[in-house]
Amino acid sequence: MSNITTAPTPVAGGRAGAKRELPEHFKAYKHIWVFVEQERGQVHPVSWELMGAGRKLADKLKVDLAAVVIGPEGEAARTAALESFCYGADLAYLVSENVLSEYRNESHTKALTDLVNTYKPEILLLGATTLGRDLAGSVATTLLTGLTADCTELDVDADGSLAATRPTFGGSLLCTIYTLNYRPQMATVRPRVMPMPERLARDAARIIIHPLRLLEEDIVTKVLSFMPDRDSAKSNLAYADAVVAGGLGLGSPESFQLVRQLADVLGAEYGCSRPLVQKGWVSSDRQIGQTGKTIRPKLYIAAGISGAIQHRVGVEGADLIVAINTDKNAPIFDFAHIGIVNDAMHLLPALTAAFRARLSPHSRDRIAS
Amino acid sequence: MHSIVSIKQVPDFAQIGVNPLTNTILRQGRRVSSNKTPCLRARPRAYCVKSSPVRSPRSPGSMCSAAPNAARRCCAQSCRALPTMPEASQICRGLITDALRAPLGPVVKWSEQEASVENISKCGVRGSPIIVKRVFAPSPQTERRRMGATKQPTELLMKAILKGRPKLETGLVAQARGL
Ligand SMILES: Cc1cc2nc3c(=O)[nH]c(=O)nc-3n(C[C@H](O)[C@H](O)[C@H](O)COP(=O)(O)OP(=O)(O)OC[C@H]3O[C@@H](n4cnc5c(N)ncnc54)[C@H](O)[C@@H]3O)c2cc1C
Repeated sequence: MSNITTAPTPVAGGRAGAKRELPEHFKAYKHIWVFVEQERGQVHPVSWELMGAGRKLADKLKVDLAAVVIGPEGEAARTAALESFCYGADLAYLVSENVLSEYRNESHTKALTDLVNTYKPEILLLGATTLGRDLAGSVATTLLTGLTADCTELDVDADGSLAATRPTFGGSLLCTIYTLNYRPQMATVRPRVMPMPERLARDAARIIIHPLRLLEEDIVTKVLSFMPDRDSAKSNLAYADAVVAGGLGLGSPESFQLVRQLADVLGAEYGCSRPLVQKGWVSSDRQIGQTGKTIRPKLYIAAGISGAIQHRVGVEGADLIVAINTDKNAPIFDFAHIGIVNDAMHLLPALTAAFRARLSPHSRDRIAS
Repeated sequence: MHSIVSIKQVPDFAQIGVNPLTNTILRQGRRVSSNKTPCLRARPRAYCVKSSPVRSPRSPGSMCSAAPNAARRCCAQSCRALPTMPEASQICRGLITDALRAPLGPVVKWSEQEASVENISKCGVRGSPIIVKRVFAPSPQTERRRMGATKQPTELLMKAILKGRPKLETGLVAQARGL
């Protein structure tokens, strides 16, 4: 047997073990940016959630946290920039021009890439909303950098790299992803995955106004009209304080009413697992989980839900998870704080009646306690 | 006007293979899980396309971010990506006649040149700026209580929910009154 002199290179070159070798021109990239998403004068709350996460990263790296506000001329964009200081920003970049009054991929991509190329941030975070996803994808492509989408955890490594963790393979596994040798390191996070930081009244700090050289004639897409989605205000699941949800264990759309009744008594929002949406029992805006809403209520009651990982990732931020399931081995009991092995068909109506009595203004129990 | 639908291949749930070198899910050469993608069942050979016309998306996983990315590369400005969340659209099953016709349908397979790939090392996992460092399973939560099948679970459960959480109860009362 002859000695093997040249070992074949592995197909992908053992990338997982790759070290950071940042090219010289990227070494100037510093500080953390959060894109403050606002449309029609409304800031999406995910932006403040990201500001909270960004603050922690910035403190660890000992760098600044900046807000990026892109919008039309006028008060709204400026107000958003000022508001960002109350959620922890050290400075804000503001691109405020009328070509940016409606979100369009092209104009917003130009504004954000211009900012990045001028001021060189090392980390750029965006909300994984419809707008944020659209923008993040094209900004990353234009800048030829990496993007980790839908992260559930953000941290910085010993060498200062962003360690972005996200579910992979339909959520059965988690993976931690690095953008070692490109800048900025980009990540998106879905609403409600990160906690909302406390708002602290703070004086305005630095606002850097950046002019955008872009004319309306240069943009091929035009917004012809704006049609608000009449259904979008229907469910407030993501921001509800209490949520009651049902799963396939309920057996029929009729039994799902039991979930709604308990939710009514608690003043809670109701939700469901994915199969109920697929069966058409419940509308899709009520789905909780990886491909539905992420929730962070104080109380989450799950009845007849097995607790599959794709459901779990959407509810783990709840302060108190109560599971009702007939199967004592159901995976939901692995992460519920209170588990009860019981038939939801009986327990739900009984619980509804008990809470109705307890929460009524005349409840003797409550006055006593 | 043409439409391009980008299809993500998902291996069967029972068999997850992770490439130990790249920490990425093995997707090659596997039949697409038929119950997950019924609309594709009719054209299994369409998955054999080796090099795609658009360089591999730079973000793993999320097709929603990959779509605008692809649109930007292949059509610059005249194309608008419509990333669709899995739940937003209905899965449509083809007609049986289409299913029968499908195996005979032509599948266009591009070569590197035809796909205008200049540098193959920039394609696929190797060309991606991101690196999967670690793959792991989620860990179970620690603090928990389980109640067995009891005769009087309602009171017990309600008390357990409210015990030591005066704020929760006040909140619930306020919300319930608001209705
Ligand atoms: C890519 C991908 C994304 C997904 N995204 C989501 C998502 O966003 N959200 C989501 O929920 N799922 C999602 N899923 C589906 C997920 O994997 C599970 O299939 C789903 O959550 C199961 O729903 P379930 O718990 O209602 O049903 P099942 O798993 O069938 O569980 C029913 C449970 O009810 C219990 N039960 C039966 N009778 C009773 C009774 N009388 N009283 C009390 N308990 C009873 C049973 O013991 C069982 O545990 C996704 C899957 C994939 C592959």
